[in-house]
Parts: sequence; structure tokens; C-alpha cells
Amino acid sequence: MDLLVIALILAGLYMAWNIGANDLANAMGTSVGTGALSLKQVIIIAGVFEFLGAVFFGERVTSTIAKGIVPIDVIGSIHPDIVAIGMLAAILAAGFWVTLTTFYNLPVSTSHSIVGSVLGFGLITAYNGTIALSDIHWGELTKIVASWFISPALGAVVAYLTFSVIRKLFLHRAKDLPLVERKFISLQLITACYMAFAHGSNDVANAVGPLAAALRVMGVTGLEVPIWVLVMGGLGMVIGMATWGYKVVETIGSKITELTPTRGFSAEFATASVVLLHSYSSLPISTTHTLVGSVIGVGLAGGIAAVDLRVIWRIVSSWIATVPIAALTSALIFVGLEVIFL
Amino acid sequence: MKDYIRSVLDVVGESPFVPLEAHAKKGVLAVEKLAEAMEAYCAGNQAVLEERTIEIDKLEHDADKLKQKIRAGIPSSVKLPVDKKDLLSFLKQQDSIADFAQAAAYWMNLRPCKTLPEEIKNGFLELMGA
Repeated sequence: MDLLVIALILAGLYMAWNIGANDLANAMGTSVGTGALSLKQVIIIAGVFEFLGAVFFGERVTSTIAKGIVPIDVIGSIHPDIVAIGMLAAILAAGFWVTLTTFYNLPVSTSHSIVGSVLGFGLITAYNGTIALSDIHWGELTKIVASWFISPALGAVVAYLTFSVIRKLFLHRAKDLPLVERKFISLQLITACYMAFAHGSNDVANAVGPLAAALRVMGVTGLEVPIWVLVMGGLGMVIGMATWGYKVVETIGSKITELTPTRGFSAEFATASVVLLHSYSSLPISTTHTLVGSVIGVGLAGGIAAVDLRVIWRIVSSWIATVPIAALTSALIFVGLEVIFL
Repeated sequence: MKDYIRSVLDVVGESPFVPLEAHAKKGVLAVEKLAEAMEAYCAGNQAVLEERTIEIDKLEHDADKLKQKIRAGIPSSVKLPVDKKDLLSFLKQQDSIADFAQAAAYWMNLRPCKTLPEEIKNGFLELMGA
């Protein structure tokens, strides 16, 4: 195997570790916060269902990252190594940005970072004259960016409706409120599985999308995303969850104590449904941002004592910063690697 | 070491209802102390009366601090399940309980009354539920 392919695999694994350690852990943290599941149970559920989601439903979004934004087949027909170097640059840039922002506890999405950095690769090839600027799939990119706005809003709406229905049907009629909450604990077991599956299906692409693109143009694999690439991404995320994510789950679980089982169920059900819908539509979105939207939805429905809407501005500013910074870093790394490899 | 965490935690604000309950508790304690102060006043026990007055002062001050904390803790970005204005006007009324207890304790300190008629004394004690 090529040195480039090995470098891509390592970079992809690092990204997968990062996603498992933070994104997946965030998604699962709410299950622990409600007291529905123990830490151990959450890690096992997350591991199994994240893996299943990545392997069996991760292909669509992976294809979008791999070839939906930049016409890699066109670039690959000129020189396959350009794509391989570009994808390595993209994943390094996204990994760098995600690592940096995580240290400053900023709510930056890995999905947004990888889309930005793949776009950066597209722009630098257009600048070099390899492709025309109009060859970049702007229509698809517009759809992706639009979905970043829609997904948290949709999460909020679905969570609002879900919690309102639960309150009308169960909480207001209940004679024994704690009993109703206890009944929802077993339902939360199901939403936790659902959540991990949805997360795996959407976020595996952030780690292995660029790898799939490089393998494709180098002729290592056919048109389809090979299953072993998805398996690798899934395993990377599960390892991330097991080696670091449990700490994140613990922190979030101990701080979001406001989420009772009915509220946690509403937020998780809404998030998982919205994320899975986007996986089906091949759109890479942020699970964490959708979850924030869903928690706000539960809060607006009167389910949480205090919801701080300042978080919305933090998230919006992270969007505005992420795409240009990831694109620029990716382009710069590409120029550097080009000098070394070509 | 700084935690390597990127989290959803920012979305959950600090609940004002926890300090609101603590604030109510200060009012309850102040009224309890006022009842003891009234007993001391009627018994002509000036030392205990002064002691209770100082304690009520402290409780009223604590309640004020909690009131400020609650008011400062709900900026416009925070959404609550109840109307913010309702919460603040409720807090204002709740806060006046400790204020009235403090004022009543002061009045008793102004002049020790040795010739208080028995029926008024009984009326006061009944009023305080002591």
C-alpha cells in the first residue's frame, strides 16, 4: 500500500477517535443525566449501535463528503495523487481545527469542519487551474449549508411537539408522576440505541469520507464505498468513546440533571430522528447542534427550568468561523504536501 | 489539565427556582425569630430581644443578597417556563416578608414596655402564633 493511503488511514482514525470521544459522548450524555442508564450500559449501547449505524447506514453521507462537494473523478482523471494529497490535507485541516476548538470548549462541529476543508481543497485546485471554479458542486454545497440551519431548528420543533404530547397524554393525567417517569426509563433505553445508530450513520463520513474519495480515484476500490472503510470508521469512533468519551459522558450526565426521563426521551428521540433523516438524505449535519436545538425545544415547551439561548449565538459564530478557517488551512496544507509529494 | 471536552452543556442555564426556595426559607426563619422576639418583648427580656433583632437583621440581609443573585441570574438570553415578570414580582413580595419582620423587630427595640396590658400582650402572642 501507498504511503499516502497509510497516512490517510491514520488521519481518518484520529478523526474517528475524536468524533467518538466528543460527539458520540455528547449525544449519549443525556441518557446518563436522566439516570435512565448507567455509564457502563451507555458505553456498551453506544459501541454496538454506533458501529451498526456506521457500517449499514453510513454510506450515503460518506459519498457526499467524498464526491458530492468536489468533482474528484475529474481531478482524479488528471492525476489521482492530487486527490489523495488533497484529501489528506482536508482531513488534517479538519482534525487540527477540531482539536484546537475542543481545547477551548467551543461547540464546533466535525461535520462542518470536514465540509469546509474539502471545499478548501476544491478551491485550491480551481485556483491551480486543474478544474474550473464552476466545477465545484455549489448546488450540493448550498443544500448542505442550508441543512445546518434546518437541522437544529427541526430538532427544536420535533422535541417541542414530542414533549408537549407526552405532557398532555401522560404528565397532566398522571396520578403518580414518579411512576410515569420510571416508565420512560425503559423507553430511553430504546432512544439511546436509536441515537447511537443515527450518530454512527451520519458522522462516520467525517472520518472516512476523504479516505473513500482517495481510494476511489487511486483505483483501490470501485464506485461503492467499501465496507471495510466504514468498519474502520465505526471502530475508531467506538475506541474514542471507550478511551475518552466516558469522561465526557460523565461530565455531561452530572451537569444536565434537569432532564428527567420524559424530557430526555423527547430530546433524544427528536435528535436521532432528525439526524437519521439527514443520513437518509445524504447530508452531513452536526449531531451536537441538533441535540442543542432539541434541548431548547424541550425547554421552550416548559420542560426545563432555565434554557440559556446565548448558546445559539455561540453555535452560529462557530459556523461562520469553521468553514473559512477549515478551507484556508486545508488549502495551505495541500500546497505544502504538494511540494513534498508531487 | 483542561478537559478535552466539546459539550452541549451551555444550553442549560442555572435555574432561578433553587435560590428562590432558599430565599423563601430566609423569610420563614425571619418570621420565626420575630415570634421569639415578641415573646422576649412581652416577657420584658431585653437581652434576648436584641439578640433576635440582630439575627433577623442578618436573615434580611441574606435574603437581599439572594434576591440580587436571582435578579442577576436571569438575563434576557435565559428562557424560563414561567413569565420572567411574574417571577420578579413574586420575588419582590416574598422579599418584603423579611423586610417587615426586620421593621417590626426594630419597633420593639425602641422602647421596652413594662406596663403592657395583659389582653394586648395575649393578642400579640396569638398574632405571632407563639
